[in-house]
Amino acid sequence: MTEQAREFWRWSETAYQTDDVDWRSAGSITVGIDVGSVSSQAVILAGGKLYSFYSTRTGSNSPDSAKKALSGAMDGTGMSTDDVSYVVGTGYGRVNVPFANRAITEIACHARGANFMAGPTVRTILDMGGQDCKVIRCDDKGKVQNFIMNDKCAAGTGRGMEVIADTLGVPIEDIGRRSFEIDSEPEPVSNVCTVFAKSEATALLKAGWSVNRVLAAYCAAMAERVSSLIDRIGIERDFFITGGIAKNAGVVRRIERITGVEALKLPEGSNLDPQVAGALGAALFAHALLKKEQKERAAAGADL
Amino acid sequence: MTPVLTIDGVRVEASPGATVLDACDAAGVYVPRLCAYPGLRSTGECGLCYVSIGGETLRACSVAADTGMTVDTTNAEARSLRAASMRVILAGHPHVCLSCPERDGCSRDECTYNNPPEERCCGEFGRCEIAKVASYVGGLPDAPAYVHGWRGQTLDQTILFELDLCVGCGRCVAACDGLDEAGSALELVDAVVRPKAGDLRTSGCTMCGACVMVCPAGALTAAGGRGDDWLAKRRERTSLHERVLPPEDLLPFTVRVIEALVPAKEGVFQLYGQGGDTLLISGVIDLRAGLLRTLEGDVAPRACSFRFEEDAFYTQRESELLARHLQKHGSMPQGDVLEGLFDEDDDL
Repeated sequence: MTEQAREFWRWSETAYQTDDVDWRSAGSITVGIDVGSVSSQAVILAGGKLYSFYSTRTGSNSPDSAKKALSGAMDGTGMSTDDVSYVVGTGYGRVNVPFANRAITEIACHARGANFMAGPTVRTILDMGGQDCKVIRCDDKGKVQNFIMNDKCAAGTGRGMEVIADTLGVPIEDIGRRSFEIDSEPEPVSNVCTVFAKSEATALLKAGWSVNRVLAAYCAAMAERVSSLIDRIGIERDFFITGGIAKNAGVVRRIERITGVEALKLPEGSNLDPQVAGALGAALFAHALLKKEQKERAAAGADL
Repeated sequence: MTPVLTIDGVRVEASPGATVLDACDAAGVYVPRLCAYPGLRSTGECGLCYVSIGGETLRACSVAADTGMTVDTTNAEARSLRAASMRVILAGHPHVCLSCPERDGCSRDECTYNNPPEERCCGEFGRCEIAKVASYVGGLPDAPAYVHGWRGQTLDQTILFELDLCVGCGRCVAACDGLDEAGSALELVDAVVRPKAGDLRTSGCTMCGACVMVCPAGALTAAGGRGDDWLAKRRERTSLHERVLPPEDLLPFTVRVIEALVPAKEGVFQLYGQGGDTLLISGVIDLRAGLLRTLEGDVAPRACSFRFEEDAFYTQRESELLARHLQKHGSMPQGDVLEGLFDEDDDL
């Protein structure tokens, strides 16, 4: 592959399946699908336990992205959509998830997913998505109590990071590490506008900056922007970051530095991916909704 | 003799000499209008008050209320004529900010969509009567682009005439001619307001402020802080009636209202219970279908009223409204499907 044709922005699509759970005897299959502006995820629970997930890039069409994520999560399991009892759609494209029984706002799903992933001590969740950024405050059950999101533009979000990866020719997953391979921390770039990111980065390279230094300046600018958003509703421990940027240490560590609060890390060897928090929350809601429906049906049956 | 008519199925007694529009106002049934104003004669130019009277679609401001009349204010043809009139009005009045997905909290100084400054909304943004009426009538998203008139502005006494904002409704002239305290100093020329003799003083203006109070377009405003003080004093003494505005776009949560008034378009609806508690905030691909589905759901028995807004970015708009709700109340809306889903985590 020639250098020009390489897609540096391309983050790896993650997949997980456990062998510990036999879905055929699990009683119920419930699914959460998160169709975001940049990435889409599907999480499958078998009998309420995590069975598999898949994370992929969102295409131009929301229903197809939802299907692609789900078939990725089902790949090789012998499971088909007919085996699924309840589906909850979430994310920017939630209304377009075919075969969904319900759509639930990603605000609630991220909180629920983060609560499951990182535990009941989580009170502040920062979701750094493809085109927006949200700060969610929740209680010990993952119930949302406050929420704020960035307004107006996609500056300093996942999509901007993709543009930087492409402009500088650095694989997106190396950005975090390389942004620390510098002599001294540079001033953050003046703006994190996704549209101007390319020209600003190019200008800095022309001015003699090393690629790593530009990466550091961009990560720092993004961390500053996000931290000022967090400031607006305050940060309470524990703090957890979800979304694709959660995997970029260059941004995460700089946010921790600015806010003075360390983000919870997933336990060593955890199979979970912070990018699937929304879909995971949706799947947990799907399971709860299914049980609620079953209970109501049983009660109605007892009345007869 | 007191005319007795039926408005939307309800028997209404009108005052003698009242128009159908007056009768609707008296009955508390809102019919949109920008030129008519309670107590003043109307030019009938705005074309927003169409209703069906005995099967004929007519402007309510131009028909005298008469015994035995049957008025339907939700008639489909009447509503489509109102929307058409609204589009004509908007073509001559800057309105691009009204349907902008980023309208909330925007200063209008910088524009994400690079709309030229002259097409953006004026200083009345957020409290403008045209915006309220347009959002009630509908048709904002497909309104034609504003064509700038380049008529400029004049400051006369403390009254700022922004002539490009004038929609030629004639309310100011009607107030100036019709109120005892006013000096009959204004006229419309080519559907734009101006003092009869060039400036206010020589035209006989009494500085009663009524023209500014009735202007729905922001074309006549009180200039600066001193202007605000002046207007506030005049307001205390004015003989003007209260302005009739669209009901805070709050609608009864019934099949009939949903089917008559809610378009099958993308948007967000908010559902309220008794006492005005927010039960649900929901962005949907089809407002009418979404509301009808909700009508059959668990939350319906507790719901009384709703409001809706068309928005192509309905998931983003839903998040914005949820953010506002959460910041105020500290929890999700009370009728949300999520209620009760957190209490059982036995096998999770």
